[in-house]
Amino acid sequence: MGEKDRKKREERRREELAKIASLGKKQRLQYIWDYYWPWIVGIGFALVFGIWFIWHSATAIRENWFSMVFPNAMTRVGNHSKLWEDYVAFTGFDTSRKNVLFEDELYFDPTSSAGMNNAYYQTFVAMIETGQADAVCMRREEIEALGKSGRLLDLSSEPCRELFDRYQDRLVYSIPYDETYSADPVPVGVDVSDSILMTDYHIYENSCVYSIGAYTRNFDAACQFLDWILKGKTGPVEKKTAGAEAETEETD
Amino acid sequence: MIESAHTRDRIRRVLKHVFLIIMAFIMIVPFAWMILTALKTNQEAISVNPFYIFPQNGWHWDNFATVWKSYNFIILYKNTLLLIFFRVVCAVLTATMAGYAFGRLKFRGKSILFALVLIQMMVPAQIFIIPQFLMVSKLGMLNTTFGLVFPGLVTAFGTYLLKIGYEGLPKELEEAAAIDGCSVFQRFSRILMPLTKSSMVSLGIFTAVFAFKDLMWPMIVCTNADTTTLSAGLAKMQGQYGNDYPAMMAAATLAVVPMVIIYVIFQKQFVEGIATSGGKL
Repeated sequence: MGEKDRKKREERRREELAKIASLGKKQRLQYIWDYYWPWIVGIGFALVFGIWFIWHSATAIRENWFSMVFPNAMTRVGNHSKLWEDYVAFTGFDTSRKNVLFEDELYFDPTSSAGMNNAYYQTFVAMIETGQADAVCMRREEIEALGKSGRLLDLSSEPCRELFDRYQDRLVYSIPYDETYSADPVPVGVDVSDSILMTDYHIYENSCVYSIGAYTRNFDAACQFLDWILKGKTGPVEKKTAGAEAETEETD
Repeated sequence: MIESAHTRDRIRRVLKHVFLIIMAFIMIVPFAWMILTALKTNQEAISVNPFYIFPQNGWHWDNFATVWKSYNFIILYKNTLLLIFFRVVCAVLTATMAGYAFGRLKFRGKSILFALVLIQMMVPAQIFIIPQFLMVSKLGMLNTTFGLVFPGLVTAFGTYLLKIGYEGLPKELEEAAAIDGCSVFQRFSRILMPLTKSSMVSLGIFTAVFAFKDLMWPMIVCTNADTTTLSAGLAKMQGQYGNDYPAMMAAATLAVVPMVIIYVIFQKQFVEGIATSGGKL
């Protein structure tokens, strides 16, 4: 049966070729187009797509030097913002080789379940879980809520020992949902309320905490960013807000 | 007696029309509110006075100009139309071939393979987000049209819909074509595929609407403003213009324009498509 089919196909192919050969040049082109245009279009598209795909795959920048998320930011601190430019200038990262990504267009409230029921939060989760986001900055109460999910790095774990020791006066704790992991509060962030993020770039009001994603691929860069924004400060947070409160009381 | 029957009939008809007018009004109000808010000042927009339906301080068409300048709508329109076009073409092409194979051909493991297709329909789409993102990322296709189209290259729902379509066609057609010497591909492409046009149109409409509404995937895969789509662009504006309702509404009005145009052009097919699949958009 298979052999018979093959012979039939071969015979048909020979007939078709003979038919095409017997036509004039213009008629031949017209005939080929009329009968085979879906194949021509399909193969043409596949070729163009294949070439583009190979070229793009070969030249695309896949890796990141560092990727950071600033949910609910009050000022623009995304890619090519002043913060981004200053950070790239400080580190000297070559952005033509790897990316430096700052995402500032996510808006969600991790302190309430209703505030997380949106596409922004799902996007954030996808970015953290795939390791696309190395670190996150949010307000204190938001990081405390976010830390419960286990998506932020436990700063008391072994790879973070140096970080833990250096910033122990600034640590922000959270009790994980997963009691098998720990029933006690776990350090998930570093309070950076007196960092340049607040004083120079005014990203948030009142408080700002820096956390590293649990699936980060650029731990060293995440630590370097923290050192850069704190400019060597390691002791307890300078309570700017407390001073402001005292001033307010005096005024009253 | 006849008089009273006529009166009853007329009253019934009037009530029916009143009900339909009320329903139509309820459907139109959000849309009208969106357009009217887009033409107000922010002060008017946040006014709680329900009688301020129309702008009181002139019609502020400049709200449209403001958002048009702030966001590159030409790019957003282009990206959205490319996304819709490629998703529709890929979904229809792959679903019609898979539907034919599952509906008409006999091969080993057919039931298991089809069960695998059905399983995809039974789990929430969010489950696939992370593996799909990793695949696109590893391929280096983030911030590209391919990255946007990627999850819509194949569709389980479309395969199912087209399988049903092919199963409903009489076997005699295919047998007659086989006797006339048609190969399997010729039977599919020349005889049966044209007869499933209505199912293909339904699938195309569903795919286009879902591609237009897709929010999360473009937000994840296209972080670059030059590669994102209208839905994701609009979501980002929501954060940026959180308190500027007229600007938000102007952006929303601009965002629905392509879909309105597509609907006006393909109105007949839309209605037929929904009727064919019994679906709800």
